[in-house]
Parts: sequence; structure tokens; C-alpha cells
Amino acid sequence: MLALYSYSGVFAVVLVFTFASLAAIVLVVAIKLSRRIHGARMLRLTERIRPAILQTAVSEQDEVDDNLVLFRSLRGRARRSAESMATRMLYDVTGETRTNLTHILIACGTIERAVARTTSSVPVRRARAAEILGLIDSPDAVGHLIRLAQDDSAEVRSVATRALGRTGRPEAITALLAALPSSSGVPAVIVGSALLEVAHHSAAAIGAGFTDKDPAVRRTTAILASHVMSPGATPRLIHALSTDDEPLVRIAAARSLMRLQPRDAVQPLYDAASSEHSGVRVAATTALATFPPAWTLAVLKDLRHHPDVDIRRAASAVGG
Amino acid sequence: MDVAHDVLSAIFAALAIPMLIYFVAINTSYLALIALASRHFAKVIRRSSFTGERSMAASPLTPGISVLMSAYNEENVIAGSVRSVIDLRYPDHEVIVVNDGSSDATLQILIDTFGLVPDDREHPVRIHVRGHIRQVWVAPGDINLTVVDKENSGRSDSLNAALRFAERDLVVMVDADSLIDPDALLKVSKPFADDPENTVATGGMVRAVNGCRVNRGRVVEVGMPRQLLAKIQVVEYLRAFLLGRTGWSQLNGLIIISGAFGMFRRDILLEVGGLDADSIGEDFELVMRIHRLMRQSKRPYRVTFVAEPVSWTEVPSTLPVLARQRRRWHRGLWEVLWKYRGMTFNPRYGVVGMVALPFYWLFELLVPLFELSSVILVPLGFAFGLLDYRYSLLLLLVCYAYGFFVSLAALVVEEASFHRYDSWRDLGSCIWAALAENLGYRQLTAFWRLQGWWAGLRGTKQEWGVMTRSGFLEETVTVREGSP
Repeated sequence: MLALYSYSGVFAVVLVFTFASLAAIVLVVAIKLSRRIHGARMLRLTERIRPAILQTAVSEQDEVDDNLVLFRSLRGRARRSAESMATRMLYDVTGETRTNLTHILIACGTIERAVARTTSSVPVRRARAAEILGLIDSPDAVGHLIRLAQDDSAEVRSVATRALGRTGRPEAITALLAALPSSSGVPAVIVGSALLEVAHHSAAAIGAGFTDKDPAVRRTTAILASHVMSPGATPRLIHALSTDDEPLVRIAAARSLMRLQPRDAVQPLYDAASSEHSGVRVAATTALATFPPAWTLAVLKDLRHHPDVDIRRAASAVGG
Repeated sequence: MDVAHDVLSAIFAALAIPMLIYFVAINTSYLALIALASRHFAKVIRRSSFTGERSMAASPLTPGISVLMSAYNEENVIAGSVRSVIDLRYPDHEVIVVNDGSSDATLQILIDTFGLVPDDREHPVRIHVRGHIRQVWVAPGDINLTVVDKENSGRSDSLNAALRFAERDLVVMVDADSLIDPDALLKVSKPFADDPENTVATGGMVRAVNGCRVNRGRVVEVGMPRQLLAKIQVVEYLRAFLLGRTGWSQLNGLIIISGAFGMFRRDILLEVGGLDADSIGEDFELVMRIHRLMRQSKRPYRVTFVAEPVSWTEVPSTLPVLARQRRRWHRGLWEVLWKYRGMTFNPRYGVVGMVALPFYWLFELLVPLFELSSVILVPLGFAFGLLDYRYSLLLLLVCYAYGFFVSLAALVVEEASFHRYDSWRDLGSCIWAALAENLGYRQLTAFWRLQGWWAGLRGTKQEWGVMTRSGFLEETVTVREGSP
């Protein structure tokens, strides 16, 4: 063993690890220290700026301009602190408060910078820009978001799609519907949720998705139809439940019919309870069990003798 | 004496270089995993302003989750634990608790607390369950809670029983004695929402609750435990779970998801037949079975570790309990690695077969053997005059200094990313624990792990033992350990 390496070589390795460990300790202490110092500074800034933000957020229109003078003068950390606070608040407010907070961000130059970043070469910056533009109350933001919803980066497209929904503007509908197919790379949950946020504008447009070639589009449409009260949703859902080739679409249709509870759906749901696909059978029976008993007494009585135990169980759930 | 001297000389000649290389390789591989994890955390932090969790939390399109929980003699914690899971921030989740034949008041507490009523409907039979189900109870009103009372048949079988009753598309398994962060379901299910076609399983981080302040089933202040044994485990969990598993996840080679917090697609779970009730490392075994299924059926898939959602669990604070845990873990590791040996070095299984499984054989299963060999051989070498004191100590120092450095690197990444331990005292505790880990803890755990392996080889019956718990969930506020 002695012959393996020289003393000095091994000693040097020990020294290297000792210094590396000491450096790691210094680094971890430095990180903690800088976080503490930064945290304390931010706390002081927050205490100074928060009252001004709150006051501006609830100001009447004619008072807003006076309050914005302060925000226009902010620089560096103070400005970033104000931006951060106003942005966080924007998630939870609507109406005039949202408009006032947007004015704060405009005064801080946040919106201008966000618009500039929509063409950044770094996807994360474009995504951050999309997030901010989705929060503010500005029709100009929608155009940028529509462009970002077709970005090369799937991540940016997803953030922009979600942000488009948050704007609540009718101009967003076309871009959102374009993001529905699975080929868009935007998760269906994000597109569907965004369409729900603009439900009062999208209800009519959503119906077209029932006949799309892409099963993902038909499935999301079937889910959305009951939430947005799409005109003519019931016959379309019944048609999807009875005829769609894709079981996931039929399951979504059954669940949507459960929400809408139209009497016309009882027989199609009863038929679907004998489907070859177990998921469809269970979804249809579960839906039937939530309908008014007077409409479903006979069919549920029959389904309680179904060979599939899951169906018997679901059919027995009536009345809780 | 001469024979012993010659034999030892031969052993030293044969093992000296391989053992040194082994210890350097194991630490270097951990360092590589830490580097991968830190790169990923940097990406996650840069994206923290647009995670979309608020939108997910409010959307009716977010996939539903069935939370499965097995409870055996958990009367101290069960009410708070179930309530905290019901109250998790998520738009659509149901909770299914299985009372695994508890001999205490676990079931009665559940019935009384949630006003449960019997559900006399037929039971679904989607999956085989060994233990007889005596009665199913449901909560009236809007609380999505089902309690399955069955005869004792173990944790795995109980979770399979819960899986029978699961109705949502995603299933998450949690322990009754764990505390889940309020947003944990949103975070751990995000990969399923982002990539619903490919994501089949995700795992969340498990951290030690010892030393934390708990209020109404929630960790409200994170702190280091006072006992050294628990402190060392905090550092160990950081290095092996937080950073190690994140690293493996980045390589698409994650093969272990903690049973205390693992999420799965329900259809996949049913397709593989649920948990193996005979396996000691049932969580590891389940993930391996999923890997095998997906690879054999040539379906694209991902198993992802999500570092941010946290399940807080009480780590052993006494040597006997820790010994039992480590014996069980290592026995489970051996049994699963042996069961799936056909996948090791098999290119058909990609990164899992070619990298992850060989790593676990070499650097997880065999490590206690090498560790204890060095503990035995070095003193013998001194006794027989085969080793130079200074030189040998320097070599040992190289190994332990490297291990210490790896633990410190893990602390640096934790501090730069999630920094859950806020105080200077906690940082000092972490550094001290990283150092102290090398001074007896590693050697002791190596011994227990070898015992577990040996028990597995002999096929002796596995005893689970009793984990002594503080019952923190039922307290309004739990003060730190050791406080009056």
C-alpha cells in the first residue's frame, strides 16, 4: 500500500479536499448572508412602498396620476420591489383596482420592458413577459400574447396561452382555439382552462371542436361544453357520447352531461352503460345516478343487476 | 501468524487500489448527480414566476387525484393527518384511508371525527386484495372521504385495497404519519398536466419533521432537530433524496419514488397490478415494474422527481429504530435488485438498465460491504504491521474528506435553491452533521445494512417493528424537541 502513491501526493489530495470543504462552507455562509441582507433590504423597501401601492390601487381615477409620480421616480431595488408587489396583487384583483395596478406597472416601466422582452432571444424572458402581459388590463397586450402563443418554444406558448385566458378578451379566442390540437404542444389543461376564463366570449366558438379530427380537441371541447354553457351543447354531447370512436371523448361527454343533467340524456347514458369500454360504462352510470330519481328509477334498477360490479356499485350510489 | 500476515498482505495488495477507486467513484458520482440537480433547480427557480399553479388550482380541467393512505394503529395522528390531506389546495381530490386492522382506536376516531356512515354497496374488484374488507365508510356531505376497514394485511395490501376504491385519474400514496405541504398536490401533479401522455409517475421530496414547529397538521416553522442522529439524517436526505433523485430524474433514470409521497397514473397502477404485498421494498419494486412494463410495451414514458412539494416525516431518533429502518431498506434494495437483475446492463431498458441499476448494485447495495471491510481491514493492517499509520490515515482522510465535501456541496445547493432551514444555528447544525456523519454513523448504518442484506439472503421473516412517534398532528402547536 505504501508503494501506491507518494506521501506528498496523498497529502496534497487531502489538502485539496480540505480547502474545497472550507470553500463550500464559506460559500454556503455567503449565500445565507447575502439572502439575509437582501431580505432585510426588501423588507424595508416593502414597508416604504406598500402603503403607496395600496393607496394607488384603491384610488379614484382622478387621484391615480398624482400617486404615480412616486413610482415614476423609483429606481433599482425600489422599482423592482414595487413591480413585484403590484404584479403579485394583480393575480387577485379585477376591475378598477386592476387598472390602477396596471398604471403602477406602466409608471415603473414594467410593461414597456415586458413588451421589449417579447422579442428576446431567451425563451424564459419571453415567458416572463407573457406572464406580466396577461396580468395587466391593456388591449395592446393581447396582440403580443397572440404572437407569443405561436412562439417556437413550447414553454412560451403555454405561458402565453394561459395569459391570453387571463386577459378575458374576445380577441384571444381565435388563438386559444388554435392551441387546442395536441400538435400545438400546449397541454390541454392549459388551453381548456384559458378558454374557461373567457367563457362568455368563447361559448359559441367552442362548439366547433366537437367535429374536429383530433380526439384531444373533441375531448377538451366535451369537457368545456358544460362549463361554458355552449349553445346546443346537450345534443352535441349526446351525439359524442353515442358515436365518438375515442373512449376518452365519450367519458368526457358523460361527465359533462352529469353536470348539465338534461332529461334527454337519460336513454343515451343508459345505452352507454352497456358500452364495451369499462371507463365509459362507469362514467355513464355514475352520471345517471346523479340525475333526479324520478327520471332514472327504471334504468338504475336495471343497472343494479349489471354483470359488471363497478356498474352495480355506481348505480347504487343514487341518493348519496 | 505468518499465514495470517501473508493472507492479509495478499488482501491488501488485491484490494487497496480497487477500494480507493471505489470510494472516489461513489463520491464523484454523487457529485455529478448534485451538479445535474443544481442545474435543474436553477432552471426551476428562473421559471418560478410563471408556474401556472394558481390557474391549475382553480381549473375544473385539472386532473382529479385520489389520495391513498394506509393507517395501522395511528390513533395519535390519524384525525389531524386526514384533515390536513382533505384540506390540501387542489380542485378535485378524494381521500381514501384504509384502516389496516388497527388494534387501537384509529377507526373509531375517524368515524367520530368525520361523522362517517356505512357504505353498503358492493366493493369494486379492480385489483386483488388479500385482507378481508370488513366495512366501507364514507363521509356525508361534500367531504370526499372514504374509509376502508379491513383485517391486517400490511401496508402494500392496504394501499391496494384503497386503489380499488380510487375513482380519480391520478393516485397519490401518502403515509398517515406524514405531513404534506398545502400546495403539494398541485406541484407533484404538474408533470401530469404538462405532459399527460408520457408522465406515468412522479415523486415528491421527503424531509424530516423532527425539530419543526407544527400547527394543525401543517409545518409552520422549519428547524433542525436537536438530536445528532436526526440531524445527520436531514443531511443524508438532502444529499440522497433531494439531489440524488433530482439528478436521476434529469437522466430519465429515476427508479425509486418514496412511498411516503408518490403519485401515479391510476390506469398504469392497475395495469401493473398495484403494489407487491410480498415485497419489502414495495415502492422501489412498483417503480421497477412500471419501468419494465413501459419499456417492454415500447410506450414512451417519464418518471419524474419533483423537488419542491414536500412530505414531512418523522425520522428515527433512536438507534434501534434507525437500525430496523436501515435493515429493512437494504433488504428491500437487495430483493428488488435481484428480482429485476435481468434488466441490469440490458440495453432494452435504456438509462434504467444501463446506468441506474448498475449504479444501485455497485454504489448502493455493495457500499456497506466496502465500508465495513475498510473498518475491519485497516486496524488489522496496523496490528500486523502492514500499514504505515500516517499514510493509511491520510488515505482514510481522503475518502472521508471527499464524502464531507459532497455533503457540503449538497448543503450549498439546498441553500441556493429551497433554503428551508433559515437560521444560522440550523446551518451550523447541518455542517456539524455532515462532518459527524463520517464519525461512526456511516459505519453503523453500513453494519445494519449488511445485516438487512444477510437477512434477505437467508430469507428470514421481516419484522417491521414499531416506530415511536410524538403524535405531533394532534397538538395545536408542537414545540421543538427538547423544549420544555
